[in-house]
Amino acid sequence: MNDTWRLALGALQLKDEAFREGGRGPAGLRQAALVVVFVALLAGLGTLVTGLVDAARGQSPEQARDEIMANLEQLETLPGFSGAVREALVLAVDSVLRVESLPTPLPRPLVLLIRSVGLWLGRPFALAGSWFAYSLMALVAARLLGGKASLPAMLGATALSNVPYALTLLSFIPFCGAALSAAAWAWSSIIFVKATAAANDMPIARAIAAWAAPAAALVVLWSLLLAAVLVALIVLALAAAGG
Amino acid sequence: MEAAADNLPGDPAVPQNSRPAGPTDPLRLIWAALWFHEAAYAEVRDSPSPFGRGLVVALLLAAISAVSGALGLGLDWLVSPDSQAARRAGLETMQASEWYRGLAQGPGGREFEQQAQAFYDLWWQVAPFITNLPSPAGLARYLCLTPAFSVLGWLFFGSLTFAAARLLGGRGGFGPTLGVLALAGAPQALDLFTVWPGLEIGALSGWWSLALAYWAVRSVHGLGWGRNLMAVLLARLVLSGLMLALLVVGLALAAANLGPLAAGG
Repeated sequence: MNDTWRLALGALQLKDEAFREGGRGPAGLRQAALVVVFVALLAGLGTLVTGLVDAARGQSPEQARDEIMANLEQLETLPGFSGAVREALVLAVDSVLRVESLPTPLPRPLVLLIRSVGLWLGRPFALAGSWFAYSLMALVAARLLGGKASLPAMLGATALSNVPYALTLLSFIPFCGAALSAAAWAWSSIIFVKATAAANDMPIARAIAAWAAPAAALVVLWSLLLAAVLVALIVLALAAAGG
Repeated sequence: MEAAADNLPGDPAVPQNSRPAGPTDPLRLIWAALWFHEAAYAEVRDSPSPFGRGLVVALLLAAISAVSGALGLGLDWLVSPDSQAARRAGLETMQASEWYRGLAQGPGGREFEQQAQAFYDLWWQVAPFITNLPSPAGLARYLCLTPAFSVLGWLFFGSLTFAAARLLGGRGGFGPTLGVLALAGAPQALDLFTVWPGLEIGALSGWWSLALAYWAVRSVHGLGWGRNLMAVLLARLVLSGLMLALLVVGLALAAANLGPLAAGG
């Protein structure tokens, strides 16, 4: 436990020893993964408490619907939000709430409690999933740029970039959520670049390129996919009009 | 078998022809493989029957998935409403919506209602097989289909990856490749956590398996990192291509069937 805490603190202070320790093979990777688990559980405590409070006060389907509809009204200000989209969303919300209001074998508060805990326990897997995905793509970029990190070394070092997300525990403070998320992301990005440089034994400038490359590639891919879908829709519309 | 000449300093070659003292049983092998322990991969690769060792691991992982899924379904049943009641409630909500009533009262309303009912019934027949709805069909899926697809998936991906690795200059045999690739399925053991209702593993298992597959192929074929990566990705690209083709055909068929309905005919 002390080692995990020390590793997390070292990452926050951008200490090279922390990244070396995280990247020292299977044992380092295990310890770094433990850091990710602790961070995700800590960051999710706020949501867990909200879920437990909801379970305790027994929110009615009508109240839940009112809350969702209030959020939907905000969405309606977005450009391109049509009446058909609204109708589809309202139908989906009503269906889910209607099904949710049906009786279950276990009492309702207990069901909500179990589900809230399930969501909270799932947070480490979600955070670890994004860490794995991004680190693997960044490793490919780093290798193309002359990096030398092995897979476990890269994963172990970059795992520590998740530590700042513990800040989002404080997101429940009014008006602070977005600022805290932005700060966590910025701090996390700096740690990721530093970890990539340390694991790959490469200069910071190249590490920045390796960090940015997956995001750039994803933007290009999504744009291409979107363009393909748009072209397909136009072709279908033209075919329907012609037929 | 030799280590690739272009292996990088940070990616040390695996000691060849050695059987390091290490994990000896499948569970410990899975645990070690999960954390990229080279000894686990070397042990399977260098064993007299690497395919057999891999098969034992693949069967164990399939059993873990099946049992976890079945137990999870049982616990899901405790926190879910009765599926028939949910089916009725969903249909009633849809029929009460403005969208539905508008179409049902318009020209061709009767046909629309019949089609909508048919699609809704079809969904409820398919849903138990593709969602976590507690049902006998869901249980059958977990106990029969999940393990079968798990083992067949290992054989399919393993064979394709082996072919790709050999095409790219790899020197490993079929048995060792399949053996070590069974270890790449180790993240499937995370399914144990999904017993808890509402707990989702998400994409972690897939990314982790991909990374382990790279590690596994590297330990057998001695390819440089680029070719190694291509060998691992090729099998997945082939499967993605097949699924995309199926999706396009499915969408085209759906569009052909829905076209007359949308046009009011």
